[in-house]
Amino acid sequence: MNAFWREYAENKVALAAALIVLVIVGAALSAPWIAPQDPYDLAGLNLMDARRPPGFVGSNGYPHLLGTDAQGRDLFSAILYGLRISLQMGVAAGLVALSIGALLGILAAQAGGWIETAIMRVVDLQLSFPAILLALVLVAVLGQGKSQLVIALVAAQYAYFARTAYGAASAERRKDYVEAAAATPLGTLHIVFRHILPNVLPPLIVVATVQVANAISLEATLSFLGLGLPPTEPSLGMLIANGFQYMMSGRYWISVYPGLALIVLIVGINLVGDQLRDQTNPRLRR
Amino acid sequence: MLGFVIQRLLQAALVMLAMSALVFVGVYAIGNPIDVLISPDATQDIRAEAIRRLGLDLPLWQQYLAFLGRLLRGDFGTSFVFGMPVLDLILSRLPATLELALAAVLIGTLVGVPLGVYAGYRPDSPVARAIMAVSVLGFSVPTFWVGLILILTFAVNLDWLPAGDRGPTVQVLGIGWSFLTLEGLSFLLLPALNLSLFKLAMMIRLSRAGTREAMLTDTVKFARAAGLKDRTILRRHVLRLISIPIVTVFGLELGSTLAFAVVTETIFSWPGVGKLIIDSITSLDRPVMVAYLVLVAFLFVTINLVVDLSYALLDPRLRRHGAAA
Amino acid sequence: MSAPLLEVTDLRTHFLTRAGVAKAVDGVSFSLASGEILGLVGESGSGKSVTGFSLIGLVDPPGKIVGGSIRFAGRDLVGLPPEEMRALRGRRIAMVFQDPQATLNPVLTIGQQMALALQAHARVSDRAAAERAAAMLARVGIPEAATRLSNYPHEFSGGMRQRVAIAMALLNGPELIVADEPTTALDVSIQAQILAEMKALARESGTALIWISHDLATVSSLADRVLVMYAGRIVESGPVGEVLRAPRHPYTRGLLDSLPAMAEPGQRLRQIPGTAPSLLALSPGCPFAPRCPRADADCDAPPPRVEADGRLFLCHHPLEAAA
Repeated sequence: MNAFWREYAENKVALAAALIVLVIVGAALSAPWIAPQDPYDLAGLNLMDARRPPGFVGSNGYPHLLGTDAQGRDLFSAILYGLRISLQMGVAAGLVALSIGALLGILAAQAGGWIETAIMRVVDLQLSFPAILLALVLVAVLGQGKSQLVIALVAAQYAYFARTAYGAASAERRKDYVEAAAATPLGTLHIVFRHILPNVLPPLIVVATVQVANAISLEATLSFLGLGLPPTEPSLGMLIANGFQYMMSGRYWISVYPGLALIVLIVGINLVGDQLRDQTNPRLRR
Repeated sequence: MLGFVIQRLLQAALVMLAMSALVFVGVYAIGNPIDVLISPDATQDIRAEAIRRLGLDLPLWQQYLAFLGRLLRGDFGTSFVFGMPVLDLILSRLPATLELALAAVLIGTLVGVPLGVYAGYRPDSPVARAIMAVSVLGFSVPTFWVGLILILTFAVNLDWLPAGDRGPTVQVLGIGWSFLTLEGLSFLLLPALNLSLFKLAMMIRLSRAGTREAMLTDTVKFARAAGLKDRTILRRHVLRLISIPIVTVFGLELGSTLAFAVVTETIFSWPGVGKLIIDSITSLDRPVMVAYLVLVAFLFVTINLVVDLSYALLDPRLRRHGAAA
Repeated sequence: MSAPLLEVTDLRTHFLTRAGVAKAVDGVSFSLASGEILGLVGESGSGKSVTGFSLIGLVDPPGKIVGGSIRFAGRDLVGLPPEEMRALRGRRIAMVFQDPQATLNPVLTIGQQMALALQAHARVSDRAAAERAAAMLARVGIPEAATRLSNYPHEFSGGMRQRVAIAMALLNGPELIVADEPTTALDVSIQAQILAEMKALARESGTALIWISHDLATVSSLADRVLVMYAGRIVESGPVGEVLRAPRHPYTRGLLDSLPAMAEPGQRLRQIPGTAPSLLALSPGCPFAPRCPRADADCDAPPPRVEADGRLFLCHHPLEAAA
């Protein structure tokens, strides 16, 4: 494990990305303590403060570092809280998709026969279908809300996990010791938990890193299109969407700063994921 | 070859059937089907009459068959919002989306493949690293955000290009096209760039990986031993070797680009099907949603089919296997 | 006698890997006259292929020629600018590889690939290229050559594919062809055919040929002279008949004993015990000593170089010369 992190730290870009992601996650978790304002407390908002540029000192007496939005919200606070929601959605969707995908993938690899064919056909079909369309349709059918959104994100993403788990599990299954263990009573469950799961998890975790970033991006896109969460809980995507109309008149900050936060987070997670993938991919090892 | 074509056609038809069942279950069976067919403003009598006329009191499997029958006749119902047949509505919007998607995929391929080939040819050079950084950004930065930045930079700050809308079109074959006039192109450029970024990133990765692999093969070594210049080897040997995955992705991406156009069209107010579906979702115009889904599924199946068949044209080995199969 | 076509002096090609420097070719010297056929024999990892690739300047990184000279037709190829080396490759020095399945591009026709090889060195119209390609295919024994130009590699049998590769090598009339185990991947019957044809083609066009092989038997039927390589060095060389009849180096003897055709009927084939040494950690002594039946304490010192009557060997305890 130590050697793993030492190798990871050799890539300075990936190391910086990991630190940035940690800082962002830390800031989002501690938002209630470090944000100057509670952006959900409508009573604390003053329309006189609306659409002010970065550095403006508002009626509350403190400077708005990143300016304010159309309702007079402090953007810095709104971004911290928005990050919380984006991360929540991304991680929740990632974890559920990972569990369902791993279950289906291992089941397909273990069961074989028509179960294998049926599961993997559906998975492959879905992989060729753009995730965003599926998510759009589900949101349209299910309506808006946190759990509906998670369902849509999971439906759009579980197939990647299932593919990965299936690939790793069926490679493991073909090994001799697994076939030998299968001949013993209590074999199957034992094999799944002792042999297959430990070998399937590392690639799944790599996929999960990237998929959390994708889920955050997808959520932001849906929210930007007005199909994500209800406006009472603005995620980053909605903050960006709300600022869009003011962009034309030069009030760029309402969209740009939440967007920067979103991108730094997503690119950071992706860089971490890329490095993890390179490190766990035996084909790239020299 | 003929057997191969027939086999693929049958497969495609089967997938279409499965997709139609999914859409039916998704939109008809889960939601209240009458909402899909009749405007919510209709009176109780009209609703009851419609339920009987449309057979919504019948068992589900009979309803599905009826639904299939209507699909086959191209009858998708009437849009609540536009009051016109859904199929006509979608077909009228389709050329704009097709033009946008095609422009995006073309930009992505024509720019991405040379960049990727270079990055694979000299993987350790600073230029290759810069190219890969672009591709990482293209992959991870959400499309809508890039669209915003493009508008902010080129339309608001520099004022070089229009921020949205389609602008003037030229009628050819009864369809309006943007790319035929300079002004039309100026409207097309930003959205096409926006939509192409993801494809660009993908083409770069794909052709880089392919080139790196190809450069290590004996084929390239043998070509070098024959005294071919590296440029010739890249252009004539490597490009042909990596063309199969690239054409595959070109085709498949054309499909997903049509889907991703949803976002770009919304940002740039591009009057295509993507904007139509978003509008119909927000206004609960369900017949449009159903039709869009079925058509997109149809499109995907068709594209997959065409890609499969064009494999055979590009890879002479498959051509023979196909004939033997 | 005129100056030799090729004169390799103290060639050193090393691979600078993470684990250390692998001396794949370490101090190889030999020369070759126009029209001569030279066999280069050794086990895999002996450096025979790397020697061949060094000659045409195509050593894969992290390999690098670190010393010595390769004088070809009066010019030193080591340190030649890449573009000049490129212009030489295929035109004056050609190469044939082991596996024709892997060397020909599967998605280009034979005609296209041959035209590219011609057009790399001269302005040749597509039509003229096709005519020359067809003529060359006919020369290497491919029937209906003109119609087969539009065929893809997979439409040829293994032996025919290698003939195509040989035709490509001959296309620009090179003075030297380096053939790296070109018959290893083929059936035995086809091997013999190709060997005979290759010899005839080389003789008739006056092309010098370096035939790299792990198989002494192949070389014996083809070459004028043979070089035996072990662990990056030449351990014995001489006219092929003499070396086969009376090898002086114990390694050559070992190679001969492991050939089925050389063994007495009923006698068991003898394999050389042990494996080739790691090129990363070679001692200054004789590299073959750990596997050698004649080795003793002397062999810890670098072996002496004995040269007489066109023969050469490096050994402390050579086998007796034939009476």
